[in-house]
Amino acid sequence: MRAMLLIWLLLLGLMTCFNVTEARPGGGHSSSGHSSSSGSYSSPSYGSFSYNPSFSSGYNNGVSVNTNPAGLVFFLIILIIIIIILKNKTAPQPFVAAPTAINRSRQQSSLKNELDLLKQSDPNFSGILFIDFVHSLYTKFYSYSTHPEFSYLSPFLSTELQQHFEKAAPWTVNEIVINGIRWESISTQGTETESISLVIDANYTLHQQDKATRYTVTERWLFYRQKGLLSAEPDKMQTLCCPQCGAPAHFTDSGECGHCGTVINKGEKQWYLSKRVVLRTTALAASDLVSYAEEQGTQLITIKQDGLAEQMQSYIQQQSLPDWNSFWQPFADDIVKAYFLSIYEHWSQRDWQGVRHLLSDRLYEANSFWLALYAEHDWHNRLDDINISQIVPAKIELDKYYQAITVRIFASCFDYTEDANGKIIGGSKRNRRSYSEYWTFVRRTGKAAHTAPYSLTSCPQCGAPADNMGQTAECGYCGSKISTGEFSWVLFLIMQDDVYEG
Amino acid sequence: MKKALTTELQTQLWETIKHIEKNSHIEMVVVLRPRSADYRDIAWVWGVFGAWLGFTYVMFAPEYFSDDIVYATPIAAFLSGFALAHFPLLTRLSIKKARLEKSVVTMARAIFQKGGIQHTQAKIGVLVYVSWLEKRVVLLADKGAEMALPVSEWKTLHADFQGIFHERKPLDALITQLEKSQPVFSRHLPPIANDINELPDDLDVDL
Repeated sequence: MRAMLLIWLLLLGLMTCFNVTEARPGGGHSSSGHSSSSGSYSSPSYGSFSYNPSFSSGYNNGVSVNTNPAGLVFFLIILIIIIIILKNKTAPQPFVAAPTAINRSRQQSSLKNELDLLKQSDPNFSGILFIDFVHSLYTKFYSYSTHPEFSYLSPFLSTELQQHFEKAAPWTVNEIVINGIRWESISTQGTETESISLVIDANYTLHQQDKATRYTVTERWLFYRQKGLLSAEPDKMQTLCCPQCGAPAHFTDSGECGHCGTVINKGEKQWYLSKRVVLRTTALAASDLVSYAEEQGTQLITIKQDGLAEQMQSYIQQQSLPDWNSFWQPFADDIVKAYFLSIYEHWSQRDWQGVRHLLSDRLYEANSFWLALYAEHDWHNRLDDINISQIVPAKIELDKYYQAITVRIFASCFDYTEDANGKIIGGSKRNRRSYSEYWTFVRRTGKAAHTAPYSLTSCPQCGAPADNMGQTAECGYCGSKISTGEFSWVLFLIMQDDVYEG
Repeated sequence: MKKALTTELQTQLWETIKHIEKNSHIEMVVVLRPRSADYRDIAWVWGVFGAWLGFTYVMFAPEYFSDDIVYATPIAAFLSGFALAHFPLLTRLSIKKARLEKSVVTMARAIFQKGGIQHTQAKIGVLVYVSWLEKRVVLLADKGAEMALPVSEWKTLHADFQGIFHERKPLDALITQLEKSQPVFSRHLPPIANDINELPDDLDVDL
């Protein structure tokens, strides 16, 4: 209908444009074969077109020609309207069905309900510890891959996956870095089993035939275990070990522990990887380090956990605090802000070790890799003049072993990468970049609410200077492992605003 | 229709797909595109035709036109013809059915390939490709899915999906049709234990 209207308007425009403005003396002259008066037109600006004087001879005088500029303008306007309408035409834009924000929010809601159900039947279950377990398994899965040690993992892999690398050419995978693990679904509905599905973003270096290639991958992993199991205690979740004796994973193909001799059947005492699919694989280029994409999610609304207010209430009750503000203000200032500024300052200086005690093992390893890559090229990613404008609580998770608080931090800085000669190869030193990130801090449950300000420069256990932390975050003075959140808050996870789902 | 593809519809569409996948072994991908080819030649033909008409008119009309009009008319008429040819109806009417079919099927196959829909272990990926300009729906099934359903069932499904363009709101009709197809997929490809979604949620099919 609209098309017809447009065609009609177009024709109207054409007719208006070509209408004779004045009647011609002498009637029609179609016999000439040319209705133009090009040769004889008096205006000097058209004189150059007088290529065929014979045509013009009959129309030299007393002839009114159509030179209606209003018609032409009208016609052009119609044309422009058509083009504009065409640009906004009714066909849908290219579209691939994908979850919308509403779908994701519903998924998160359902995930939360399922997690609650899981925690009801397994009060020992801790999301933080489960992620640690997945992290350990992922690292071992690839580092052992084609090596004989792969069999050590037998109780943690389905029979099918145990044979996964059997036909693969010999290779070595190292520098395994997990950038993110997203919960996708939890199922407690089965009569015999429970399952958890996760999406893992990682990258690793594959050495094959004397060539090393760095890949970024996205994988979906599906874990199962028998229904009604109680999760193992933290030290058996944070490393891959025998669920019976706690010795490092060293199993035979049949699942017999090399230390205690117990046969560990899949899913009987611990989660096992039932299926995995690689969703995406891309070879990584060094140039990816200096690619500065436009911030995508800064303007998005903060994704807050359903029932956040209740969780805040639970938290202050657990900590015996009078109200939320008595926790939040010091936490926001002494932990979130202080950690944020300190971590990014050390990042800029390529001194990741300087904040080792503030980071979880996984976060430390993941970002160490990137800093090493910068160092390899002698590049510096500078984050100058960081300014935090807002800190918003987004999520609180409490379980038997851990407290996890996720906040959204709005900040801005001059973010750029320079080479060894100080030449800027990415970002800008002049344009301030505004961004926001979701940071998750974790701490062991049972820690008393702090009264004194946190010190970022000392060991939270013994108070000695934090200048002697090994790569494993063990204090060089007291030997305590700091990165587990046993003694103070550690930064567990950083997620960009455009990928955070709650 | 751009306006009609609201978040609400997208949300509904995704939930319908998830419902199908939950109740069957199928892995479904739904892709909509405004057109499957650019058909630029059609626009050029219309442009040239318009220019010829315009030129004929200024040459043979029983009126006098100034030089600028004579000069501008064929150009303007060309542009008008070129622009008019972008109206879906006109484009569709200007192209042979066989060519429309071929464009849509070619694009569907390209999306199937680019999206890696063939990478499911049991070959149970199904692409529902809707091409707006051509008013065509293509159901492209991987080997496993294709074999699981009888040919007659596929034919019926295809005809039913094609029928969405006879409805006043094709997108709503698409969702309804997807819902209707769920029992068919469930019957022939029932869900299996320990099933895992093998395709990413945000499939990259940018061509």
